[in-house]
Amino acid sequence: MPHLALQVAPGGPLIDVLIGVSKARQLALTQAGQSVPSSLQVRALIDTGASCSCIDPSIPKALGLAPTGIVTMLTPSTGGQPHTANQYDVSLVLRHPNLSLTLWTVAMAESQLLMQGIQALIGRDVLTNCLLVYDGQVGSFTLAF
Amino acid sequence: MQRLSLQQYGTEIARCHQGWVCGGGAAVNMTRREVLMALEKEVETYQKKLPDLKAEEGKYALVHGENLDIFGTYEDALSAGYQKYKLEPFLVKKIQAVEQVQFVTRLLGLPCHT
Repeated sequence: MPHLALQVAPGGPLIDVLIGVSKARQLALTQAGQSVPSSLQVRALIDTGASCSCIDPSIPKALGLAPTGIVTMLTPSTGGQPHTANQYDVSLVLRHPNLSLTLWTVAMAESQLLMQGIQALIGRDVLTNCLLVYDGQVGSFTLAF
Repeated sequence: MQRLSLQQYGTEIARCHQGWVCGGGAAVNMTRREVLMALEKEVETYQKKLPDLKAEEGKYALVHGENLDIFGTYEDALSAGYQKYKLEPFLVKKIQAVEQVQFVTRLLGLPCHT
């Protein structure tokens, strides 16, 4: 099983991932004679407190995406009041030197993250494909997939 | 998971369509408002047809304008959406009588304008 062993940064368990357009959108773009935007390298936080994965609005904007979903979200900042957020279909690559994991279709909710120094949250929906070991005493984490 | 009643969900959608979505500054909200407006018709169609979709709970609705099709998985609905509607706006929504709320505990300290 490929795994990444990384140090926990001051901001938490951070990982660089690739986010691009979903496979279905890639096909639609190609059929329409349009170019497929290159995937973006994105700094993401692995967040077991997030039930869904999220991206900063700058990512869908850079990829030229339109929302294909709407989700209801509850965050501490909204004082217990759920709010509605756009959702985008993207592809996500967890990179590994030998065997990367490519998820061709992932629904990611839009959320302001850039001010926290990250561009994405890897939530439990993506982590269902992984094994995560967090060693707080050593200050490292391992993500296997 | 906290769940919203249909009425609460409708209220949340309506508040967003009035122009404000939590989690960002005014400029960002204007952009998001414009985007949300692109799916306004689809959300309306979904809400209107939801009472008749009880037997389809857990499946995925593909909505474009007033058309609604049902698929077993998110991937299938999305693929069909791009095949049928190309790059036009469409909505893929999990069919739920009671809307499931997603939790993100990380998102602290952002102003809420709703």
